[in-house]
Amino acid sequence: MKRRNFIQNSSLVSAGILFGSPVLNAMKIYKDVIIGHNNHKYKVDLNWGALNSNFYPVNNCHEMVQDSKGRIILLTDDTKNNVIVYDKSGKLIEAWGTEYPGAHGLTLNVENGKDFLYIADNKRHEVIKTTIDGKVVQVFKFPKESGKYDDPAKYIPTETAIAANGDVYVADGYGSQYIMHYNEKGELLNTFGGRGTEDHLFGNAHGIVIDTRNNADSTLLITDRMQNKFKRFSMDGKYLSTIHLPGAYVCRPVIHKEYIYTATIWSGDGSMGTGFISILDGDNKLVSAPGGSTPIYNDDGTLQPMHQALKIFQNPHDVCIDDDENLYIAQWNSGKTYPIKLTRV
Amino acid sequence: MKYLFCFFSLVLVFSCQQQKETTGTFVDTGDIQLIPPIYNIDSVFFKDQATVDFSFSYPDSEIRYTMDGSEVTAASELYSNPFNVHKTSKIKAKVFHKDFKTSDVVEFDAKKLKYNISDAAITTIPSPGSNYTANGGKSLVDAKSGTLQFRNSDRWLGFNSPEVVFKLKLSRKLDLSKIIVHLMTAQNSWIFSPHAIAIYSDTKLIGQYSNEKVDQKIAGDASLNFIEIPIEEAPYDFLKIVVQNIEKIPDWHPATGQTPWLFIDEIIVE
Repeated sequence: MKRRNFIQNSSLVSAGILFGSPVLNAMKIYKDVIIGHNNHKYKVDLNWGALNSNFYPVNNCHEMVQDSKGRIILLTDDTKNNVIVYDKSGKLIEAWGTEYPGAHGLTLNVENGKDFLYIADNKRHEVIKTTIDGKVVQVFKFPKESGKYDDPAKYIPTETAIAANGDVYVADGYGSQYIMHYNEKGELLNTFGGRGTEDHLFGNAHGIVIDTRNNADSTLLITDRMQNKFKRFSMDGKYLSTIHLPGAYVCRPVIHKEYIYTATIWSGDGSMGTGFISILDGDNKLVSAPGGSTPIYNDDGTLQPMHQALKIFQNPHDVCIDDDENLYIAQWNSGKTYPIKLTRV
Repeated sequence: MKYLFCFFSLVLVFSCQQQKETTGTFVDTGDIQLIPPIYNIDSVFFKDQATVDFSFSYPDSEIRYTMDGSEVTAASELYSNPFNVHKTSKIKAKVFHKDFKTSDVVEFDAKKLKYNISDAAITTIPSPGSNYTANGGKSLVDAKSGTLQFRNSDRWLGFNSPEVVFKLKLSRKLDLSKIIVHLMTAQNSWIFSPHAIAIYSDTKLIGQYSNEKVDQKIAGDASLNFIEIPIEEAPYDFLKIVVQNIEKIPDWHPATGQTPWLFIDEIIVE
């Protein structure tokens, strides 16, 4: 939509210069959309990272991370190029990966000064660890040893989180809703969670992250997308508390500085195309909802149900925050569109 | 010619600068549409009145609505506070904002009940599941609709059985031509629509309904629906309503093979 306007505008401006100012005066004044609330407001660039889809196609854009060199890495389930590496302006740097048909979860972890990627593949039913340029270094296979599964098909991992001590947590968000806890060698140490509505169980454990904002006491934040919640667990899998996000079908929590960012894929009654972005502060209070309704807390501290306000995002699936505080939004099932960039204002 | 070239180069430079300052990189407000308002109605069917409220928390937005089924325009009634509906109405609403494209319409029906049968005697066989008993059979004729929040509700009766039989003994004979059942579908929560409903007066079949597609996956999570079943027009004071569940949750569902739930909150006669 924006490209069309640009063409119209620039031809009007040219005409204005050629024929004097009346045309310029008649030009419609365009205002950039600014979305979000409080200190987190953004302009929207829908064309960031758009590539020639004949050469660099995307299917679902599932997740994005920024690497140590400042590059933006996108994971898509198109096996022509599962990983697309951009600079921050959206220029293609490289693309790789043809063997991740269910490429879903992308976590970057720095180990001894080197970047590694953990890809949760929900069609291969396993997690693959690669170097930053795609060399496979470790595979976390279907966890038969957990005793929870009689069939690999019931294990559909969606996300990983890697602790400071090298332990790896895997959320089986589209499978049987267990959380696997491995050591860095890939030996299974613990299994917790499972399907259900009780506090320690999950309806859709879609994302997991290690919350290091309180350095003394790292904890796990695990999404329950069906229940519109993030649930906090100790590192050994004990349920601790819940962050309620009524009306928001949240994907993975992403920790950046003192904030939690997350893509709300759907809102309201959970129908398609109703997504927006959510930002929680250090007290886990919603402070901004780009594309969504104004956050309102009741006197008793509960959050009023959130809903989409503007049709900007369709089914946003992940948020990546770069070192300039700008956001990149990967979307699921959005007509094979490339990510959207939000530039902080 | 040279001058002309320079001139056009200048024009080009200016256009590029202009582009950068206005619409080059970012989306314009005029290209973005608002979403429809969120609505709430205390009961979609009612004896005397129902209360409607709208919400849309976005700065400087306006909700406008109509109640006669006509199109909502910038001149329609501006919503400010919850209001009451006293007759059967089709309510439509949109959100307006000076910068953004007007939302699509949201519309819903509010139905004034023709007969008050809240004094009818009702039996259900089997009894509803222990967590979903509402206030017993009386909840089916209390003129109060449930919402999608079916847990801890005093409106919904939930049944986890292949068949449910309702018997309604009315306090007087009523001329009837239609039975309406209001129910919920929420497949993610194992709640399916009935695949058949048969209505008897004593032992005589007077109306029936069937839907072979209820075991197919429905897009979206949950919905509330009216099922209208025409019956032979006559005075009745006794009705037997037999609701058939699908036998098993189908293969595509995580709970395949289990018995699904039926959720019903009202039986309406007309």
